[in-house]
Formats: sequence, structure tokens, C-alpha cells
Amino acid sequence: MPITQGLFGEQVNVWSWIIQLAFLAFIFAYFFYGQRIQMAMWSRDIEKALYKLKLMRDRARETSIKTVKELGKPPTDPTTRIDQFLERVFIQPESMDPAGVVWKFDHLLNVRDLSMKDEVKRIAPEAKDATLNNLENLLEAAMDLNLIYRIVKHYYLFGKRTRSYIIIAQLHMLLPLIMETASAYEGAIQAFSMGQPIGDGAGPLLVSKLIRGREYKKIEKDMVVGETEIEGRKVYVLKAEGPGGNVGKPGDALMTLLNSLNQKPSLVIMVDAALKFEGENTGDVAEGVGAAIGGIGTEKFKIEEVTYKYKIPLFAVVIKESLREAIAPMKKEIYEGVEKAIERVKRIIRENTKEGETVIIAGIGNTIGIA
Amino acid sequence: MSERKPSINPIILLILLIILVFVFLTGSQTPKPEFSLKNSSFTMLLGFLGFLLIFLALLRLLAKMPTPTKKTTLTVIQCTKCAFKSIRNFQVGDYIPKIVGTCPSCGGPFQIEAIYVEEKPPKKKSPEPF
Repeated sequence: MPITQGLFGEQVNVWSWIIQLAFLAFIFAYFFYGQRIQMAMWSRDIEKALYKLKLMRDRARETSIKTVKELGKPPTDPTTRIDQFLERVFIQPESMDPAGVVWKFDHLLNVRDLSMKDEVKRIAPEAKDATLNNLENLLEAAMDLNLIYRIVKHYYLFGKRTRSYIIIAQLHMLLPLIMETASAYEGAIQAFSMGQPIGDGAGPLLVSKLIRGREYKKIEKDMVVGETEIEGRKVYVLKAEGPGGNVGKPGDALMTLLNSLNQKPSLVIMVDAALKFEGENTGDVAEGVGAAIGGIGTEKFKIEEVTYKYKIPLFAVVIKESLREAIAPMKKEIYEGVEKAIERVKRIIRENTKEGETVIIAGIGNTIGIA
Repeated sequence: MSERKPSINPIILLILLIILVFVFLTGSQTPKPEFSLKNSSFTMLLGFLGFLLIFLALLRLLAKMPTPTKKTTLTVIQCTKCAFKSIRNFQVGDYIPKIVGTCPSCGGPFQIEAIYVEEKPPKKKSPEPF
């Protein structure tokens, strides 16, 4: 009598043997190696994401080189210089003693901005000012993609080498956010290489529409001011200098403007693109109080300081969009949102000021493709 | 963003699997009794594997990446005098509010009013109930 009959009864055969052994093997394998199996599955997902990130990084680099060659007409091959540019670092100031850290930050950001502009000028000597700004934005987007790829690769390889379940798990959990950010930067590459307005340009676009037909004058580095009238109120509008890609220094510009005005303004309104929550519609407009401006925080600090100093009410109007939409070419919904925001700004002015008073409107954001 | 295409078309895989299951379930008996369809364990194993593979193939079909929506960057040009409007594809060098010639209707300045991306909206799922 075969031994199987003793183990599994009379009706037993080789297939039921195989099924039961396979089942037992699966239970044991999952019991002892479950975590490793899980880690292997997560690692596979991270590897796929890394492959995509590398592709994005390489495409951004290629586009940068091609655009620099086309617009900058460098005498020698710019590839090495561009590769060096993509590896640039920014070391943040020490904040153990936080007093005065804003001004240290501001100083380092100014130096960074100037040195990057100089570097781009050296890489693309024939590029005009507006094009130079676009090239700088393009190279910055490529630099960010390069950084994202390097960070993800670092944590993946480190987690794999140390067999750290926690590092791989955290990286895997963050992947959707990382990929969303990376794909947003990839969208920006097209806009910056062609000089198209981006979603973040909603604020400058609003200002450009208000000032249409009038002249700007330069007030601070990369910032311009214009003067117009809305329903009997004198309105000063501020924006970054376009049509090259530029965000300027709105804090410095507002300080200079307020210090130079004879009549104290009754209101400062800031207009900016703001991140929408999931499920909200792109181009929706919201209003509130405070400094509507992103970035590291130095400009926000200056705006809050100066409006507090002069005791001027600070209002905010925001046009909602996602991160991807903010740095990708401007969508029609955002353009329509700007039209709605103009009406909202006019209503705020009507309700909070009297005729003959002065108002400042600051359009915050990247002014690429918008003069 | 390009996606790596699966090596086998999932539709072909699905058809092959359905044929395989059909053949095993309706095919003639094999000479060896342990491989016979009368053998319930063997049939069960094949059936289970077949259905598992069909399920996986269906999952791959459902998980197929949506085709990217077609995007066009448009430049809206408007006459500052008579509001005559014209829309064309974006050209490098366009910016708001660049003057790009004279209005074909009244001869006034023809100015770029807007530059935006228009995309065909994807098929909408039923809206969220909240």
C-alpha cells in the first residue's frame, strides 16, 4: 500500500499531495518571509518609479541642452556646464538662533539668484534678458527633477543595502506625492522652454489685465509698478517684470512703494495662485485676509512687516489650482478664474474703500509669457 | 510620461486562457488515470489556476493606463478697438499683451489677450456624493 493512502485516506492521489504541500509551503513561506516578500514588492514599485524619474530627469536635461543651444548660441558645447549647473547646491542658513534668520536667508537667496543668472549668461551668451530668465527657470526645473531622482535613488539604495523595512516602507508610502511633484516639474519644462504662461502666472495676469494700455515703471530688481484707476480709487499695481520667467521680490517692491507714497493706501490686496484641495475645481476663487504668497517665506515676512508698520489692511484673493497646474502651461480654467478674480478684487475695493483713496494690488507669481 | 507596455497583449492572453480552460473542462480523458478529468483534484487545480489567471488578466486590462488627453496651447488675439477675436495655435515668442499686427476688421491694434492650454475633458465618472 502506498504511503499516501495512509496519510490522506483511500481516495488520495498525487495531485491532492501537491496541492496540500504547496498550500503548506505557502503558509510557512508567508509566515517566515512575509515581510521580505512585502519589501520585495515595494522595492519593485520603487524601482519602476526610479526608472520613470530617471527618464524625466534625462528628458529635462536634453531639453535644457537643446534650448540653450538654440537660444543662447554658445560658442562651445554647453553640456558640461549644464551638468554642473544641475548639481548646484543651496545651503540654508543656520537657525539655532532664529533672530535675524530672514535677512540671512534673503541675502543668500539674492546671491543664489545673481550667481545663477550670471552662470546662465555664461552658458547662453546670445540670449536676451527675457529669454535668459526663461532659460534660468528651465534649468531650475531640470535641477529640481535631478534632485528628486537623486534623493529617491539614495533612500532606495540605502534601504536595500541595510535591508531596512522602515526606509523602504516610508519611501513607498511617499511615492505618489513624489511622482506628482516630479510630473509637475516635467510639465514646467515645456512651458519654460517655449515661454508659455504657467498656472502660477494667475496673479501677474490679473495685474496685466488691470493695467492694460498703461506703462509700468521699474521699482525694484525684477519688479515693476503701474498706476491705474478703479471706480474712482487710485490703484497701484505690482508684478514681476515680464515676459521672461520671473517671480521678482514683491516684499522689497511693496516696501519701496509704501515708503515713497505721500498718501497712505487704504488697502493692500494680494492676488496669487493657491493650492486647491482634492475634489475642488481649478480656477475657483477665494478671498480672505493675509499675505497670499508662497516660497521660502522671506517675501511674506517683509510684506507682513511693512503692512503692520503702516497699519494697512492686507487682503488676499486666491485662484485655486493643483501643484501640477501651477507650474504647467496655464489652463483655460485658470484664465477664466483670473476673470472672476478681477470682479472679486473690484468688489473688495468698492466695499472697503471710498472714492479718492489709494489701493495697492500685488499680482504674485511667475510672470513668464506675461508682460 | 511614457509607460512600459506589457509584453503580452492582455486581450490575447485572456482569449488564450479561456480556450485553455474550455479545452481542459470539455476535452477527452487522458490514458493516465491520475490526469483524467474524472479525477476531481486535478480538475479542481486546473480550474482554479485557469480562473486565477483569467482574473489576473482582467485586472491587467482594467489597470490599463488611460490615454493622455490631447492638449493644445492656444493664443487668443483680440482687437483693442472693436473686440474682434481670433484664436490660433501658440507660437514661440507670443506673450500677453503683445501687439501682433492690425485687426482685419477695423485696422486697430491686434493684441494677444490670452494664452492657455485647452484639453479635451476625460470621460467623467459619476460625481462623488460628498
